Amino acid sequence: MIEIYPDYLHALLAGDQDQCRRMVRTLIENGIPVHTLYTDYFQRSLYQVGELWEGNRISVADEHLATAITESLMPETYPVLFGADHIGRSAVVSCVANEYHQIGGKMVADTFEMHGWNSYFLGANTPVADLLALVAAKKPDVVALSLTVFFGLGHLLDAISALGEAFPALPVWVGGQAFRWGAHEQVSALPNAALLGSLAELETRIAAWEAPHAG
Amino acid sequence: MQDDTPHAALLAHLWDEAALLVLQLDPMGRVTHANAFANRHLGNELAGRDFRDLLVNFAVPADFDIRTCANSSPFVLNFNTPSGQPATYRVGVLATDDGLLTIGSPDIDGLEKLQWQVLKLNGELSNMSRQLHQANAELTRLNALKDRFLGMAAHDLRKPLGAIMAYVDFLRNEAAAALTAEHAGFLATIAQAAARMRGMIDSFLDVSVIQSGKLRLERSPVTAESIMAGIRPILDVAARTKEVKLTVDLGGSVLVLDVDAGKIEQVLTNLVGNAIEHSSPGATVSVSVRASGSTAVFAVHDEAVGIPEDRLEHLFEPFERAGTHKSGGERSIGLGLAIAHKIVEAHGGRIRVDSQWGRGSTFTVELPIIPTTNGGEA
Repeated sequence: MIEIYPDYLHALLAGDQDQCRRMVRTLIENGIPVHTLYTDYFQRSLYQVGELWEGNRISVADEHLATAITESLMPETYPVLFGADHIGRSAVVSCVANEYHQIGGKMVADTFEMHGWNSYFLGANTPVADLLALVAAKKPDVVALSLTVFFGLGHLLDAISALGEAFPALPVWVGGQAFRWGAHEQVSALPNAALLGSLAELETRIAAWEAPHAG
Repeated sequence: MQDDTPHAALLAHLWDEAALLVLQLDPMGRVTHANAFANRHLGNELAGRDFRDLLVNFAVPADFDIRTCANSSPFVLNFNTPSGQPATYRVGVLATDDGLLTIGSPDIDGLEKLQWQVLKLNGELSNMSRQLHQANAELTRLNALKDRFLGMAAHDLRKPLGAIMAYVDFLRNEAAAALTAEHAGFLATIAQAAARMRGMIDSFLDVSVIQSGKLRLERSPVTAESIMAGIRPILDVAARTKEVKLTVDLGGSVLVLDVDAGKIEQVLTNLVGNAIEHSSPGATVSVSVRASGSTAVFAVHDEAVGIPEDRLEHLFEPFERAGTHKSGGERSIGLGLAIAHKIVEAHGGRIRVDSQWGRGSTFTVELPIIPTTNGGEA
């Protein structure tokens, strides 16, 4: 596989959407697995962009632009992603109230799709009531919640508790950049929740999930 | 005397670089000095320009005069920029000894609101794109399921229909003497309906096989002449029944094709059969075969009413019809041309139609001929 990550990051930081899109298309045409594209390009570059922003080396506008470009590139993978055979499992994936970073959540939703699950993605800033309504309608096997900004932890815990009360047997998988700062115990203390540290861990968990019995 | 203290240097830096539009104007309202920020955002050649000319003209009242604005509360003005995108600033004006000093601050609140909305819209757009792709994939899956169901249903219907047709034949052949004329008529009607039904079922099966990508070609070298000879008897019967004159011109050359003869016969039978069915008694349907470069060109021409122009584009799609009635009232399910198109395409060939309303139609099938030493014709 061709190694164009440094050029990709350079184009992303320069806000050159067209160049980034050309590179992503080249990678897809060369058969890069969607998983690799997500982790080794999208996730890796956004983590680096985040670090540059935290180090005051780029502006918030640069960071927003990089995020927006990445989000606009994700549909390039969809013809491959949504072509996977379904195994009869489904997941509702969402960001909680006041959480406006949705790329992580979308990567999680797409990861479910890669494994043949149906994923319903609710997006940024989803009120608990909307989340509960979709879960009631879709009856998923799993709910996955993404948290990027640590200060949204309260909303996340509220959402997990509300899900536990309404759907006691429904597992809630939680993850995101916010957990770099801790709060592992607070999530682990909730009986219906499990904290996953990475997309790789999510994939392991999905793979371990037993396929539904026929009939 | 110049002030070289760090304090003065910082002020000078801020004067030039802070996100403030600083313009000094002479008493006539012309720019005498612009800071670096102003030059970057409004263009480099500001000196000497009338302040009014810097503004977006349709957003300025006719009686606007910057000289009357000195020492008033800050107000909003829209400036032209080199990018062509207007920029909004909240501007304050101070009277000085040698004219006016205008200081404009960017509309930060507005820009922030805009940035927020753009990011939100980008996210929503991306989510909608995801939903569309998801729905599209689901539709593709359902379509494949439909094709499979169609194939299975057609396959299962074929067996009982075969039994019906066999017993009808048996009764018509073996029990003819015991039948009244009326009963014989009933059996003939049953035989006719069953044959029509089998034709439809075969079409469904063909479509199912083609749509699922399972069309298999059994290619072997075959001459255009033998293909035409294979379909001629059945077409002659159809032409006679409709009192249509059928002519076939093989052009004198022997053209050898590497095709699935059965499938190409199916295509040509469909095209010539359609031409006959759409023709009125006394009309002529002519079939010709010619070499053109490395292809054999089969042309089927009729003198029927033609195909309306708005139907031509989609004519080879499943369940599309020519929009004309067959002269004998024959029914069609609109699959024949779609099947023909797919078969020809699978051979690396081309099928097309030229038609003029009221003046008949010509369907052309081009198929590659096997290259030989004498230029493609064996």
